[in-house]
Amino acid sequence: MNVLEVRDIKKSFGSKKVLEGVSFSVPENCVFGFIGRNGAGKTTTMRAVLGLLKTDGGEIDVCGERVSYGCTPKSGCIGFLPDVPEFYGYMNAREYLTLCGDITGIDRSTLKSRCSELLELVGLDKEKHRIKGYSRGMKQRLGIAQALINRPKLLICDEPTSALDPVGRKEILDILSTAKEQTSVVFSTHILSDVERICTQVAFLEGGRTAFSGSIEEIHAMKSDTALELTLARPEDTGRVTATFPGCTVSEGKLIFPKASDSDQAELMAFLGAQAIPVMRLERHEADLEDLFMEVIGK
Amino acid sequence: MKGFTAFFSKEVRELIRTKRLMILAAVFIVVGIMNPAIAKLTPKIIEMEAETFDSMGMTVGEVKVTAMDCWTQFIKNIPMALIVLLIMMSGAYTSEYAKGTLIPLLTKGLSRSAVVLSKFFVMLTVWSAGLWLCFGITYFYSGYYWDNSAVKELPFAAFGWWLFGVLMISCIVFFSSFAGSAGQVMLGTGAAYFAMTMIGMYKKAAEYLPSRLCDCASLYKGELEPSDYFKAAVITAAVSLVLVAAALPLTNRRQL
Amino acid sequence: MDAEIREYLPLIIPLIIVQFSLLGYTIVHILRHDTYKRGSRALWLIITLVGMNFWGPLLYFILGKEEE
Repeated sequence: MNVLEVRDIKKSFGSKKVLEGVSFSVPENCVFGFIGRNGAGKTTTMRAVLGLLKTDGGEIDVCGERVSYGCTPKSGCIGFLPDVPEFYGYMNAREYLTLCGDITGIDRSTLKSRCSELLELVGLDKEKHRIKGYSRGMKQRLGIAQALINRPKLLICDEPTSALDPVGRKEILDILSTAKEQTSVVFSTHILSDVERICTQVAFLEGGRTAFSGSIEEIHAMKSDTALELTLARPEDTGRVTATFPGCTVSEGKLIFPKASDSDQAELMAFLGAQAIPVMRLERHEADLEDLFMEVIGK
Repeated sequence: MKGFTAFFSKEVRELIRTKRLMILAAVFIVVGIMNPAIAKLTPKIIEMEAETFDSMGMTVGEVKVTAMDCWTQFIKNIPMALIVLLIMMSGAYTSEYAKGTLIPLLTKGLSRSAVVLSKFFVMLTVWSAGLWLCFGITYFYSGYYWDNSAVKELPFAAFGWWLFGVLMISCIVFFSSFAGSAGQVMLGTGAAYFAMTMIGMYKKAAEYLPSRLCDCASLYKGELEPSDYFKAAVITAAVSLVLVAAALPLTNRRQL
Repeated sequence: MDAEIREYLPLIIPLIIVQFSLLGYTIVHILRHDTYKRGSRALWLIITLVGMNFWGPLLYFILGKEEE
């Protein structure tokens, strides 16, 4: 069963159409990357899923329950981490988590151990200070802890890594992939390397529509063509190679062979060996998310 | 209900930790002591000013201070304490909406009505405790120096002010459901008070208006009976209830 | 004169206690914080001392104290 089903949602602010038919679905126990440029409508979609925003059309089901504006699904199966989480500065992390637990109705004895568990997961268990003095990264981690407090089936994170330094980003990504064991994670981002690191499913949002939605394997299958990049030890050999392989192009002293299959590669290496052309470097490029992303947004 | 109690205790903790409760307590205590103090000092001040009065050709006889003077001070100063409370609380809702601190809690199933009502009840509790603390202190000193029985209907007069304060707090709740900032909330509440004063110019309306409840002097002197305040009290309570009730659907429709 | 002052003592003593503890607390609060919502440390110290009967501390806590 899918934890989240989004079907054809639409939203416009005034005359500006932000969402013009976004659809995707998130299965259980996966990390779902929701990719789009700044202003593509990622946050809008997420707010609609949470019932914080009135949509103009379409349907959203969370754990089989229809979402409507103004009320978040009562069963408490969503955890949410806003892009810039704001907490009460006069509380410390444990007090804040206790407040969250009280609201969801966890009884006090289980809540205590749950808080300790989560604080350890996000690495705030030694932190006794009030939230007022927290850094962005610490707030982000506390944000994940509060979102997970009631063991939601779906964790939604809005750009959890965008504002963080490389160390903070790695920490958040590690926490998210740990969380995958308990819940499905949906996170929006425009940082593609983050997606490649932890996601199993992705959806691209462009021009208010889902331009592509599927698993990482499907992406690799779609873009199976690889490119070869050859650097020769002696530049004067370049002519001999281009004469035999007319498909290749030369740029900045490198020879690039686009859409090279495995046999093309073997052929090239056999030629280089037979001609005794010394090679500095031969590199094989797998098509990556970035290529696909660029293709999707039409650049 | 669990959302309401959890959020209510959060509100109380907020009042304590942001020092607001302490400040308000100090204000109500200081006002409570100032009322008899000013009354007690009045003859001294007049004595000192006597020379200036003399030069102006006015003669000042000996001034006799009574409990009436003390309670006149009470109704003069309690509005100040109420205004301080209203200013302190004016941003209670809007700052949370603006900062987005409610988002994580709302997505956990906390209802917006629980937020609106628990903040309302916190303000109500603080106002009730503050007013009666102030009343108690003034009553104690007034009884110590003078005779409280010379002034009529003391608790009822204070109750009138309390009810008026409840209406003002309800105004904050109402305006907060759509206003964008604390300033706008204060502006709305001020405008509501101004409108009330304007209507009060029309003499026939006066006995129905909430501002009638602030006219404690007539009550003290025995010119008016508590029953003369009945209509105004019922209307004030009803309007407060309507304002808070209207704030609930308005807040539910608010884009956060 | 002595008897007269004694008559005022029940009013003056609690008033002084409340006002001075508020004043002391406010000054400590100002000195222990480096940033304010608006204004500077010197400004708030002056305001607090000028309006020491309680308006000064009140203004500081409403307008000057940093939000938490």
